[in-house]
Amino acid sequence: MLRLLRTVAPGALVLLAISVARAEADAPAVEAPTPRAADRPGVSMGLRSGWAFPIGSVATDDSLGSNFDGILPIWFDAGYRISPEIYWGGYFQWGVGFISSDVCVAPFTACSGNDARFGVTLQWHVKSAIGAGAWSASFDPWVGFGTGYEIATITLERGADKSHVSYRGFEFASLQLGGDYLGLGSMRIGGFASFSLGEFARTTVSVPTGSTSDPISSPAVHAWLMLGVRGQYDF
Amino acid sequence: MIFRSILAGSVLLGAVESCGGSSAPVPLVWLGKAGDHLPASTAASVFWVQADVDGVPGPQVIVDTGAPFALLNVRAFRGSVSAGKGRVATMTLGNTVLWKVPTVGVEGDRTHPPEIAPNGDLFGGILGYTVFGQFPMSFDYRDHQVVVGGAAPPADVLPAFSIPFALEGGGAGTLPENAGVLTFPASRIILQATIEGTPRTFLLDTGASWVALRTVLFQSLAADGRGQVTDDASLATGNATTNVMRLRSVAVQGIEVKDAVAAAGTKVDELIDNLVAEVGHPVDGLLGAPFLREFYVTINYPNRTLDLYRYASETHIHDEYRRVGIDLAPDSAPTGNVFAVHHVYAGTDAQKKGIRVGERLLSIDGAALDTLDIVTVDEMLLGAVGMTHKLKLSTRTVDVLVEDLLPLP
Repeated sequence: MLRLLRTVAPGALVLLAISVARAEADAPAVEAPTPRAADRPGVSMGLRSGWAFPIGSVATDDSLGSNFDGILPIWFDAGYRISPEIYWGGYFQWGVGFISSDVCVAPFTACSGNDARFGVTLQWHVKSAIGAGAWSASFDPWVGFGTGYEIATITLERGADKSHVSYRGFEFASLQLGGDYLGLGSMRIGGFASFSLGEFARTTVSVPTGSTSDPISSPAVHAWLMLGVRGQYDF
Repeated sequence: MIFRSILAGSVLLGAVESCGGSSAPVPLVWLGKAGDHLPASTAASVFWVQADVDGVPGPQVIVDTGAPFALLNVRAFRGSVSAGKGRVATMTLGNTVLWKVPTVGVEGDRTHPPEIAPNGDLFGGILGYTVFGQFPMSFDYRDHQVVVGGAAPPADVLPAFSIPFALEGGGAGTLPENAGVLTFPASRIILQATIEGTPRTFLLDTGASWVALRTVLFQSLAADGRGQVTDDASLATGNATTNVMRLRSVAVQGIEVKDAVAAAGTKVDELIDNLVAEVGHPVDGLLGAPFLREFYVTINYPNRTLDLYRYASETHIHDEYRRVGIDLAPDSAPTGNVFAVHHVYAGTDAQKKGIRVGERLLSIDGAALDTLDIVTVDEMLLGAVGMTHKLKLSTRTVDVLVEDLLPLP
């Protein structure tokens, strides 16, 4: 993903330079402000990271917090700005899971985990709602809503022995809140919070005799409360 | 005799409501090798294995196919198991590590005595279906081991009789010690067995030292005047006095076992009534060790088949009621283990020789007992009917006949 950004960004800069040159050539007597990429339709790609706190349960009587202390995610966004206010796109998150000592005990010699989420998201950038002013010119608050699918995996090891369990299910809603700083050209950076609500419906257990996948007999709602930072490039 | 008679976890809950519980156990994650052979004690003809929790060495527990879940003695696990409904992060049985094992912890007295396991430590409780229901489980009465996961049977057993089964029961019931309500899956293996020519319905129960019968059935069979004794039993509902006799034959799909010992009593009836409420149809009793121990028993839960491999020889079977007519109770002393006469059976040669309750037994056939455990010492009192054992008591030495305490007419 980082490589993609590097590949695309110089091209965008070239296009930007050409358009600026044309604007200068055709310039009327009064210089017009250059429209920012954020103010016009276009593709956006972004990265986020932060920390996700576990809430709720993997299944009845099995809290998410007793499985994961938290998640350190890498979250990739790609989408389209329909207007300066509306963005929609997809997301993919892969997070390193930090396994709780509630379930990672002797005789396990190592426990690891991850959490993958992917889906679609819609953002409403409410810059117009905060009015005019010098500071608001570079600040873009937004709210978002998403939905998708989630797979959380835990791997347990004892010496050379290794087994896995994964939980998967729909993410009903991902409610997001953020604010971006726009003063970096086509790049925007900011902070965000998200609250993603889901329910694991199936579990796949991989043990020495093979894998089995079964519905979770008593599913329960869980959530991740994530706080973090993000950067986005607007083409 | 303290380890003779256990009807362990056949039914554990009060006010069981059948609600068609799922037959799928909680899919436990585990590490190890399939076919892990766990060394076991077979005291009282049930399987006692060591269960470690969270890496801490734990006590001996009974592996009980009659129990739907794990009922563990909190005291025996020294804080590794919490009281009430809960779970442990890991339970290690031999080389097999199970993750997130659901448990019910009780303070001790309701885990039904014996309070002492064969190794002399506190009795740890019982393991049931939610612990091992995802595995093929094999019970080797001859070589004293439980095999977790699929494994080939020993080479010197006869071809298997394979019997399909369905798991029945499940539902919700109240836990002991006001610990709430527990929902548990269908776990009961119900078999048709023929008792002395009459078809009956039984629960397959490796946690039962006897074949347990309803009192009405027991009495109808005992009407021919066959020998009976009363004996203490450890039931799910606590200690009980039961009547014990011998059955001429027990057969499952034509596979017959003779002279199996059966027991009945009021608390056994209550236990069976609870089972009936759970499975929703009549049940006549529990099919325990006196039938099962003639076989290498494989219960393949994933495939829903019971395989009975008859042992080529029955030399491993010790009939606990063909013995010198006394029971012993163990005690510990600084100089070693001490055994005292706990019960003298009426009408036996032991009674005729004047052996009394409370007398200390020092040796059997010249073998000192102070370094032996109760299970070993009790087996030294068994034998072929008509032989004698030389018992050195604290005041004298006597030769005492081995008798059948449960003669058939």
